[in-house]
Amino acid sequence: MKNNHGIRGGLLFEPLPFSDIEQLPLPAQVTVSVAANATVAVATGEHVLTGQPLIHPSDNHVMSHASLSGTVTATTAQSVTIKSDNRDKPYIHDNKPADYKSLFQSMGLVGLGGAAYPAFKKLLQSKTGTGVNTLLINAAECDPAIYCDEALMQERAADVVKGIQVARKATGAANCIVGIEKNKTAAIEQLQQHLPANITLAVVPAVYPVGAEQTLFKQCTGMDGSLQHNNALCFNVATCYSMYRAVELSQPLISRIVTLVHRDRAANFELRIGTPLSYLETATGTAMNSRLIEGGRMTGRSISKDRFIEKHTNSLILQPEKSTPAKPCIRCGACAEVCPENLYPQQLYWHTQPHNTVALTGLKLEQCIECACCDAVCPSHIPLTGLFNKALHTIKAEKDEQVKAALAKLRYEKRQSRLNDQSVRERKKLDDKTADLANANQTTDAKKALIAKALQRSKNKKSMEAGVRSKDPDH
Amino acid sequence: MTGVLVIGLLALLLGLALGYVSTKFKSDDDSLTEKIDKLLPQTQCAQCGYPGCRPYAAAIADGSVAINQCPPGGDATIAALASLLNREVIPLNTGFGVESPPVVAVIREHECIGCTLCIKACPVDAIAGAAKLMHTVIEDHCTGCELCLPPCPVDCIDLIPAPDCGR
Repeated sequence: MKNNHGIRGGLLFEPLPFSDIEQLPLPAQVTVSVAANATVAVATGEHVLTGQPLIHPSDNHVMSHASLSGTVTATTAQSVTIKSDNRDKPYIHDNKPADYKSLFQSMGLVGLGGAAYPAFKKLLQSKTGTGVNTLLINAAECDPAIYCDEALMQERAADVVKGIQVARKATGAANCIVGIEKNKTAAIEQLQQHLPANITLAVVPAVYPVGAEQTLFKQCTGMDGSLQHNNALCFNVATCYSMYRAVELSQPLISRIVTLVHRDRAANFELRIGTPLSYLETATGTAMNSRLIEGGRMTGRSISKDRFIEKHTNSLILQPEKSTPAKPCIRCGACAEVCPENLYPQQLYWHTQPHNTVALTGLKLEQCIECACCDAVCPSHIPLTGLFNKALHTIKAEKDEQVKAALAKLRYEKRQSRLNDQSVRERKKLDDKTADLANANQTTDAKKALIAKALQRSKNKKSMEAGVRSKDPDH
Repeated sequence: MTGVLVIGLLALLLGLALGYVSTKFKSDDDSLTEKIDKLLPQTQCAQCGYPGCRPYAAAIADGSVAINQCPPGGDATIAALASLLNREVIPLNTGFGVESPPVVAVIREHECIGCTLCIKACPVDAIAGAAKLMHTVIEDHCTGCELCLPPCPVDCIDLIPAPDCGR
């Protein structure tokens, strides 16, 4: 079913009023996460500068940087804690790498839309195959509790556009499209003022989840199929802004804009990566005594307020505890109407109870983008998206197990055939030897026979000669 | 009279058809073994009493053995086999072992004397090493069958929980 916005399914939300980007005083302490399996390059007690690398560079890891200057007070395998010296003295990045890939990696750039996928890895993707045809800039945040990108575009449009141009240069894309929702009027106005003629601004309906990469791509280009299939790449608009800061100002990614939603009001703050959430509580005067959700109203997850601002933290929502127990499915079909991927969540749900891989695959569970539209409309409050996520993990684990079993089977069969060959070879060797020996014996016999025969012949001859002589007295 | 004739004719025709079908589309025993083998976990641990997964699969295909003798596969494998073979789901026969979380073998390398006995015992060639040199288990290939444990003269092989499926 298509609604009147030309998008299948989805939900309409009334946007919340939101504030301009506010700067808070520096926190007294930050805890910066580092990539898994990376080696921390600083030691406890060491003094670091703002923007100083915290891990040893490697091919796979995106760099983490000290988000303020001060003393390292603790390091673990996952994070580095720095106590501020309140001077915020910057680290000078003098030898900047020449290529965009290494630059994005060393400046710690990741997707700021929420997934935190390393930007350099996206560039690697584009290098395989025929290069990037279309660069899609995602400026549609669509979740009813995220306004950080909208505020950024309204206030820093010129720099955002410079960032988009950096992204375009880095990918070498022929076409560049910025996809933005219709209701972000102030941001659209700002972008139109700054965007050059060779970058298209595509205004899409303000329907959740139009900001999902795949949905936005289809809306902006009208093309079906995956981005990869169409040689397209997508960057979030805030990621482009951080690219501008990295390339033109040599500033690593040490801060981001975070939306804080409380009592139906949204406020935007520019915060250092690693800022404790408890600091946000005191600095903004917002008591965090209710449930805290990170990542948006629709797809967000509950987090503890002992955590820190991460590169992926786009939004924090304070909302009162609510627990509506799930009731049985009444098969109303509301979930199917809102599913943007044209799936049948009600049937999928049925086949997760109990899990049935064949049926779930048949119903194309893997196409689920986990937008949680079905959760929002379910009158029985069934946590469908959570169940689908779990089912996807189960299917993946099953597949991994099958791959492993197939490998074990192959190795077992190869070993069996090798052992078999070996025993066949050994038997053949033995047989050959026996035959040879027998042959050798036979040969001696034959030789003996030949000798005997020869002896016989000469004997016969001698006796014959003797006989002739005796018969011939004249001789 | 016509009734008898019609029924008789029908019986004859159906009998012929059935006879033809049974010879033409004979159930393929080999492919059945193959199908069963696919459902087994391929640990090659021989706990079922057969020297590997395929021999056990062949025995199941023969119908000579129960489907509940595979401890690594556990209830999931029994359920899959039961649905393939139209047999009843039965609990695992604990006489052959109990279902436990997957493990992999690890050699305590400083204790290894390089006897090569475990290499010979490994059904999937997951142990690398040479005589009088240290051996090691290739973790990605180890099925956790435990067959390398008994031959080791210095008991230097440990079983540790398998890392998450996800590699």
